[in-house]
Amino acid sequence: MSLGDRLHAVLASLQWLAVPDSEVDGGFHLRPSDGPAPWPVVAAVPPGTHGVVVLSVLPDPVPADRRDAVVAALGPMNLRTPGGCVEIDLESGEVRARAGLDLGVCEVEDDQLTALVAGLVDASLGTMGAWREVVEAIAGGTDPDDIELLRAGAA
Amino acid sequence: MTAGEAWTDERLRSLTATVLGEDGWAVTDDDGVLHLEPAEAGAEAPYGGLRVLVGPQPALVSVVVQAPEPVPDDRVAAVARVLAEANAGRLVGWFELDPVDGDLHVRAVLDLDGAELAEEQVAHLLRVLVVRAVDAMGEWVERIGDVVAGADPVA
Repeated sequence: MSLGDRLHAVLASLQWLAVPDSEVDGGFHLRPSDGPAPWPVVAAVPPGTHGVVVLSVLPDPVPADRRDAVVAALGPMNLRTPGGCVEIDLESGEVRARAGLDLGVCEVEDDQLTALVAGLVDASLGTMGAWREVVEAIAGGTDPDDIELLRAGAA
Repeated sequence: MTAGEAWTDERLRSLTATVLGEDGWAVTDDDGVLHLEPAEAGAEAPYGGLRVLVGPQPALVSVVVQAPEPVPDDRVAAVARVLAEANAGRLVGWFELDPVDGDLHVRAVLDLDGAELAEEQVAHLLRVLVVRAVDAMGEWVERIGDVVAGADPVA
């Protein structure tokens, strides 16, 4: 069974409905089995890899004239985020909270893969949950320097 | 440790030191932070240095590859834009730039919380993590250097 097939089974065991995502090669669009996801979530085995990436996607792209302001805030955000990162696609303005795992040639049992993927999902959701409001505020016109959470010494 | 046991931070730190020591790194434990230098006489640490941390979350390993030099204050915005490009779409790891002091590094993380992996599996994943983090810096260090020196980050 391919890693992609195993990922689908693992996500189901974690109570996520995983629907193949037509826009992401090797990817699944996720939503909890008991309701809607708080934002779009994608899990994938990127082509050519033996790894898994989980992306929480900000619902609205950042307008072109606010992308540099978001870029300026990514450093302080990521320095305060232990298990994942916030990234932006400068072409589309899409902001994502990413957590990934490269297995290399390591073989893992299903229960081990489940635990590792659960960690990725938690990290991606946690990172987006921590920074969504900040990114949306900056995208809406707030100066990053006016955001307390991004100041030096802030937790 | 065998499969079936959860990983504590202390055992994870100990295994990291052992595995990377076997791979030719001289490992120094500085208050829980493992600093890596090539054990071979005369060899230099990659870029601005390499270190491994365990925590702050349980069983979370971070490999950090330091850039050769901090980013000057007047080039922080330009370099941040390059880093947005560098980070988007990676499987593992990301660049972090502290706008306050110009500190720049790659961080790649492995979250083993709840994953009952055997020592050989963890050793392999640690080695992959180090390679991916060092490779990421190698892939972008020249471009970053050019932008620090005044090149247009959009070019």
